[in-house]
Amino acid sequence: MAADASTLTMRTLAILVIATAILCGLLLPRFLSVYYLQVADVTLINILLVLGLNFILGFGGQMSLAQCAFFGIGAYAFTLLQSAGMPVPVAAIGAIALSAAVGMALGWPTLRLKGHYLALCTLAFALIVERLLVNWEGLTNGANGITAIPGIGLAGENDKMLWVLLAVVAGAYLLQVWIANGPLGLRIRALRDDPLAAQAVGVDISRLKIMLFVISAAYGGLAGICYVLLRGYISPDVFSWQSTFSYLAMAVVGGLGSPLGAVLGAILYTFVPELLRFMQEYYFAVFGVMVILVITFLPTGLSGLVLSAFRGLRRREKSYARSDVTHHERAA
Amino acid sequence: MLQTFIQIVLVGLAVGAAYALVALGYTLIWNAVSLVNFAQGDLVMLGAFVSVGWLANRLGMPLWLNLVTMLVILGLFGAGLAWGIYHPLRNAPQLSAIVATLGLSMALQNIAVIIWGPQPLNFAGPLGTTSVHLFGATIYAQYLVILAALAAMMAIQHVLFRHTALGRAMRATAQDAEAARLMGIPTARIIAFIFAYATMLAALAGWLIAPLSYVSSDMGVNLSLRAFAATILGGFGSIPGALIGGLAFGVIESAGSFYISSEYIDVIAFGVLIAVLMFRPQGIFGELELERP
Amino acid sequence: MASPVHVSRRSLIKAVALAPLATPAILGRAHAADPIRIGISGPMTGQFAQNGQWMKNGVAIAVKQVNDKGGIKGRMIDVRIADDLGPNPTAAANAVTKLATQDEVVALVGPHYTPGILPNVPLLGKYKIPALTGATGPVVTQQGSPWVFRVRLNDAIGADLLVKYVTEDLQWKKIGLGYVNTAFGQSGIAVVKASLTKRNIEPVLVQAHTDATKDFTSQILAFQQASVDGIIVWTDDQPAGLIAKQSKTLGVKFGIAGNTAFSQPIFLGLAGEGANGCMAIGEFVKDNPDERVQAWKKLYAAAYPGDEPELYATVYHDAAKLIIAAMERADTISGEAIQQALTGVRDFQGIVTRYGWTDNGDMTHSGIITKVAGGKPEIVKVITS
Repeated sequence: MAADASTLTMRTLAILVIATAILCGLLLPRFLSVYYLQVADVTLINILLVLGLNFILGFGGQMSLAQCAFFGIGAYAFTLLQSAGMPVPVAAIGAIALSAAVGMALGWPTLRLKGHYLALCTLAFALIVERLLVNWEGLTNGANGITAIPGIGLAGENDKMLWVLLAVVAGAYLLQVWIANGPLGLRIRALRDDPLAAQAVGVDISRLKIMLFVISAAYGGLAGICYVLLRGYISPDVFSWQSTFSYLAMAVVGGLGSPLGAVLGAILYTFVPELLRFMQEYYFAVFGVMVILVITFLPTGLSGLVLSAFRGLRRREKSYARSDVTHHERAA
Repeated sequence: MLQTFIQIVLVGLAVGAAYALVALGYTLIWNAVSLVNFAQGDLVMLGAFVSVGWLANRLGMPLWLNLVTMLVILGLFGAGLAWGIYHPLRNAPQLSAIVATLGLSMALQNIAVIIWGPQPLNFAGPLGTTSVHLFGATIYAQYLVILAALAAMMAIQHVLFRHTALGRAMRATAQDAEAARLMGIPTARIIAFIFAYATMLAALAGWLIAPLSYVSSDMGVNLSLRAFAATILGGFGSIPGALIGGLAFGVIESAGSFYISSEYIDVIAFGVLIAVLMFRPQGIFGELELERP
Repeated sequence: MASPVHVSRRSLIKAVALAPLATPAILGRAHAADPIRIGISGPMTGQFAQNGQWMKNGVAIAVKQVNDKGGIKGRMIDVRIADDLGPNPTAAANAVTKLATQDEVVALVGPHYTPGILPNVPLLGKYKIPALTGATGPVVTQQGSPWVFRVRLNDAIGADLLVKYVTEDLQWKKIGLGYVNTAFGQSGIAVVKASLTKRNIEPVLVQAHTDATKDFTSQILAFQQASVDGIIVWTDDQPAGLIAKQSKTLGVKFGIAGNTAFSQPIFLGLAGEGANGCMAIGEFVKDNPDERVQAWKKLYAAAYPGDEPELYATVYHDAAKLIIAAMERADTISGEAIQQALTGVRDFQGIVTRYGWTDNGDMTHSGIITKVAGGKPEIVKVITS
């Protein structure tokens, strides 16, 4: 596919993203104190979670409130696998595979449900997972959590973990763009634009939705692993079912379906409040209102704003930041 | 044994009555405008805070005046929601509307903390901690108040919907807003009224359950979740479904907690819900919806 | 018309150009300073904010006393505060990191809650700052860290003392257990179970609840059906209040005993008449006729008119006093020196109790059994391990 002059090729975007990541890795530790580096690390993990949410929510137009559950499953699975003696790469792959498998098991029967049904189903699932993490003391050590997790030995080293997280997030970001622009991308667009027509031309939308859900789950699991590596400690509180609404809010304000939106939304929700500590009381009330305003008047979110500011620049990914992404089932 | 059983069922019914009031709100709004208001539980919280935090604690209003005033305030707020949330999104896809109400929920909880502070508030309500003996079992008198209030609301609603022009207009709007409009019904105003009414139901639930425990900014979230589950159990879009679903869910929770396990009750209750969603999503009374959004 | 390469370079430059704008707010520069900085990590917002407020108050009074006398070796004490939202590991990690690296405190009061301090014990070692905490979860002093100093009764001791009381003094035979499903509740009830096992008693029924549970009817009735003599409950203030209140309404006859929550103001307010008869293993009762407590009451009322001290304010006042004493004894004012000095504490008279360091970091070993009468907790027995 020839790239026209106004579109970024995959390669150029890759260079851009990697360059930004390297720059952040070099500059942030210079300018940020230990404390803010920690915040930056957590922000990167949130970016990963929201990127995951993009697949099912942004591309697929399906409301999933289970992202925090996959976050938790990935984290605990990795921890338990490592403590069972498996080396890090094996434990990591195992954890991601488990998250994906759970995503498949949950997605397969439920993705035929309508919007609000699916929302509740995924929320109920998130609640159940949290309760199991707390109550199944034999497996998870209960509410006390698990301490002193070896990981890759970088727990608490905010600057070194910064590099690891930047690498993971950059990769995840590019993967999302690649998927969206690849052969799958065409089918995703068809699903978004007109599911009925898509089905008519032979797109298996059920399978597509399930695939998107599974990828979302895998990203969530990966984020869980990253958390373990960063902190060396996990407890069920980190994966509370209420936190799932935060990821949703980040996705919306950033711009549904946009990888750039995931980055912006996570930064705005996680990093910025730290800078504005004096108004923290009001911050999240304002954020809630912003969710309403964005979804009503500016569905492309912040990323839409940012991208349209680069006039003449119409990156491939921008097409996903349009409000098409929410034009799934119109009110009768 | 029987005595205990009665207590369990009565508590379940009382808690379920609160779920039913919230579920009714969900159903009415859904029937009218195909919107699921994820912030319905937070309206319960808002009603409780307005009543306790402002009217009782700040102004020292007598109880019944407190209730009426609070309902009026919340009714107006509900109408405001119709204008501010529903109206701009009336032609937007479902996902947008769900997201907007989730944003509203987030905003309301944080605003409540800003206005009334982070500490939970106590509320004695009409009966304080009086208990009554019923069939040999001892329960809070407040439970009976809740059940009586629910019964009263259902009666009022029945009269409203079946025997008044307003009620007919509401039903017409719910069935087919466009047709209703063409028939000369001021649908925008009717929709505002429906929102106001649903909000008042939620606020009433808040006023009724506050004396059983306390008022806190997160009290709505759990309630939302359970009432939503109850609505689906009963059948989304069905008014008898909302009522029965609410009461049933309350009893299931209460009985399950006693007879099976209090630790895993949430897992059980929501496991049941997921099963219902997978095998019979229309619930007890609902209709199986096909491609209708 | 911009070629792709041009455009990408331009946007890259834009991105980099914007970055420095963010830096002034976040530069973590150390400032050489005269005042001695100590930190409080506590819940300042959220559900537990009231407790954080009390922590602040208690510490403030101690610090003011010292500063009024000229400070420590001529240096004033400056108190820095970070919000840890209570039992929240992530927020607590942030708070501790911030106090250690941004505010550069030499000693820390809090994090108070077990889930808050537990994961952050390694941070204390990393930044070499001693922390005085009122967390009661046994695990907190099982980490092998010399930087943790517990100024309240370790649940491992407290729970055992409570069990001792109800089995020996009250002769309870059939016992039910209830607990909140958090790190605090789970570890507390584990100690209770172990203590009962030691006495060859098996609890007849064990039930868990969450902080959000509002209705305990089914649980209370289950205990009643099991014909328990009494229940031992390990939970937070609000569930404790509801359990007592609902037990009274349901007219059950068994006794209720539990952790310190069952003597605290929030519990008393919620439980109303249901509080009467409830027993707790506690440490501080403001109506204690002891002259030290009464003097403290007056001092507190003078600083905060219309207010009365409760457990948190008092414990953390003692904690601040311990830090101050350590600073006076140490040759330099640094985290390490203060930590060293604290390990030398053997019989420090505080308001709550006498503090003495033991090698795992626990500094108190005695408590009081309280029973509520007429809406107020009264001391029934002083009990030492």
